Amino acid sequence: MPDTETPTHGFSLQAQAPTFVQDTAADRPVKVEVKNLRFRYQNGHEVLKGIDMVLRDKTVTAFIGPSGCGKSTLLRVFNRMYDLYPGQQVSGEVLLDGRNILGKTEDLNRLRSKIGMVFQKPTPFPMSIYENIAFGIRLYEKLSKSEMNDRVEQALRETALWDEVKDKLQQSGLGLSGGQQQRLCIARAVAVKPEVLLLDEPASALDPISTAKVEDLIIKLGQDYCIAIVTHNMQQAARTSLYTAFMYLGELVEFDRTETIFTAPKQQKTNDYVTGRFG
Amino acid sequence: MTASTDFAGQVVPDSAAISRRFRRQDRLFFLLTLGSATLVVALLLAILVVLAIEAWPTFSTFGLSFLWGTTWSAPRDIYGALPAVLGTLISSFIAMLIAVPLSVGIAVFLTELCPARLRRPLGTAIELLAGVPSIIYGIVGLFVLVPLMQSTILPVLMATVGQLPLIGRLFQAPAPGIGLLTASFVLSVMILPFITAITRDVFNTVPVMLRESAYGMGMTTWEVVRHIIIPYTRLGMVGSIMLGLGRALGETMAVTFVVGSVTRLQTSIISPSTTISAQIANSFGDADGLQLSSLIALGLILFVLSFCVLALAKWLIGRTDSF
Amino acid sequence: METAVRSSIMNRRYRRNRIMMALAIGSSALGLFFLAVILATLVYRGIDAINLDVFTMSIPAQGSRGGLVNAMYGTVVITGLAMLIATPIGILAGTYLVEFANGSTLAEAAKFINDVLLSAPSIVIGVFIYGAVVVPMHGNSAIAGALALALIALPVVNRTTQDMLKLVPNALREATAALGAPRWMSMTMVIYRSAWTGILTGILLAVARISGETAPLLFTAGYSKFWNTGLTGPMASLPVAINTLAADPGPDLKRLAWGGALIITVAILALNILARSLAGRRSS
Repeated sequence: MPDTETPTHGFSLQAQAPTFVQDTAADRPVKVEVKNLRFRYQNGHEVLKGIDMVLRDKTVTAFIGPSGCGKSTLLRVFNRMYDLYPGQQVSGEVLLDGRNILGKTEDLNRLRSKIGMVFQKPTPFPMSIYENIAFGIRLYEKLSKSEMNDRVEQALRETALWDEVKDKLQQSGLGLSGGQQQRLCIARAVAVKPEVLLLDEPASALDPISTAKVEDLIIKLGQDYCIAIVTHNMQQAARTSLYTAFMYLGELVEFDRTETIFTAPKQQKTNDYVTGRFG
Repeated sequence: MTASTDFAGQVVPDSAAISRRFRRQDRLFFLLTLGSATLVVALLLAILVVLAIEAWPTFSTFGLSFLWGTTWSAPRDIYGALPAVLGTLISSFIAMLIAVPLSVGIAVFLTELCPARLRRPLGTAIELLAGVPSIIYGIVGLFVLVPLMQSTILPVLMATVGQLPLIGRLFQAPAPGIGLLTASFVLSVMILPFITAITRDVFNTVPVMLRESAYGMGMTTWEVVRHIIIPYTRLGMVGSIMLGLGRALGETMAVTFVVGSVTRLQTSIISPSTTISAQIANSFGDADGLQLSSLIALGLILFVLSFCVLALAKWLIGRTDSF
Repeated sequence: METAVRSSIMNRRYRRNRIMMALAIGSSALGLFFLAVILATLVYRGIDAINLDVFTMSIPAQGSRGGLVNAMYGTVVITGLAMLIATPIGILAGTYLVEFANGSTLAEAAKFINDVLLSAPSIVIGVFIYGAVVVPMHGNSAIAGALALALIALPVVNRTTQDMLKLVPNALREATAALGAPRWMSMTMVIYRSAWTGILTGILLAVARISGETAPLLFTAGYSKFWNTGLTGPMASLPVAINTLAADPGPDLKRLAWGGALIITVAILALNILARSLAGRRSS
């Protein structure tokens, strides 16, 4: 997927003191654990070269790194999205609540119903706003009309979209603005009550105001969900995440509290990247 | 695990059972699509097998000499394919000679000259020409073009081109109006919109930057077409021409009405003659035995011919990667 | 300042350009002229035959009153039946080739074979159905005609489905899968829906194409002067009726043929325009 956005580089600590996510409480329990994960494309190119890391529950973890470093690929391993394409090989382990999800017998539909995903470009389905959200819920739940209405409203409120769309729920989701479409997609992912939420550059196709709204949303959702977000935008990572993983050429260079990564990285590479010296 | 508990503490229904049902449905859906795709392949094989079986008596009687046999006589029960095959090839060839330059001209007009307002209606008009059923071409050809050929065009041709050495012989014969040349004219009008549409699409694949930088050098429209667009789309154009040729080879009704039904070799292209498809359409209804088998053998030849042309077209178009 | 040499080169280039562009304009005018001649001939010769009888009575004998209603009925029935067969199979086959097997050698071969069928001469299809259906059934039948037309429409629907599914962005497939939706539901609820105008355009064009076909019906559905409702007996269609009546020496019947030609052409062109306006709505 081409990068449509120029990375916001030159993140300067002097120019603008970032406000990091503050969480004084002890670390949340581990939700997802990645062990020695390797990933190979059909053409033999290895894009993940032995990754070890964890995602904690009710915590936002950001994945940063230059294009092609494997951060999106890593995200797409968590819900086995790569299974849609033949010939891609994966080895190692990804444990969701202690259970490896990379097994051949893994029930993918069920796995994906527990792990929501939001993509770089908004992907509203060609149906009404209401149906966009109800679609996912109906897959695994049988609800009465009024229960369904409540769930749809709840999801739209959670994503701060309710006031904007409550009068046009039966209109096509394609008619919304780009920012609204993306929040609809987040609402759709949240509506099925997933355990993990994967965000693949969710704001990179949006204007600054929509981006700010989406970021606020991520911070809010981070209190309830285990969230992994891939981003090119350094400030976004700093603002939204408690943990940050810096990846380079298929390897995890550094993984730590976001504040540490941005203010006192242990690796020279990380320092170079977050200060905009390469990328 | 029958009922799992999500993190928010709500009990959700048995997702494992739902998911098992999903997998069964997906399996069924997959098999349905696979079956349909296989059916398409099987149909082609079935066509070849059925035609080959029905054509077998012909080939076992005449051998491969059926292909170059020049006699087609029901009373003597002798059948040769050459007159019909030649008729098909010659009429298609002449039709291409006329249609290709016209099509390229129209495509140039549509992509380079036409005011934007006219582009769509004009393009639609040309495509409508492609939508007219072939039998309409047949009867309009028979009742409009044939009298015109007989009264004006053929006499003029015989008096001019007919007097030339060598090719003059092609234009000398009693000319009732119906004949191979008339069929070629009708065919050319039929395939004109077809070739035009594809050529236009191929022309539109030329990158705007390339086109603009060529105009930017001060090239005239013709020079841009001649030196940029045609070389850039060369293979795609040849592909579109081959697809048009495939159409011309297999066309039946438009030809049947105006070609006549003379099943022997003619020295002149203005005489009544026949083509593969016209011969099948004309004789199939009353044929039986060896004649029926020979007509089906003609159909097989036609199928193989159009297959070869298509394969060539695909190969050429595939190399431009523009489709 | 231009030298004489330079300006003579320019003049020659411009002259050549003018000639070539005049030829391009001439070609376009000629193309439009052909369309005009065909339509004018159809209207001029066919308009007299259009009256209430055409739409209410069956094909007559020379000298008596009659119309083409049995042939119109036949065209609708045979075309409708053919599309009923070809549409689901074509869509499912196209789905397999793009969604499940895209890129594999076998799928590429199957796509090529579909294109071979797409360009197969329609008379050959007629001959095949004659051998495969008419001979075993001992006679012409509407079913045989419908099968022949289905075999022509099938590769069109298949190809259109492939082309339209390829236009659906992968992100939409991933987004549906990410919710835990099974593949078939993703296809029916999301993917077909985003491609439906394109697929419908293809289906309409297929209808337009097969409803004007004559050659594949000559020896399959055959011809009948009467209103036949049975699918196992011969059934007239407009194109075959035109073919038969145009060759009749009787002037009344010939006029009826022109009337039929006008009707079928207008109907098919209307279908074409409908399909294209649908396609235009999609692209805008």
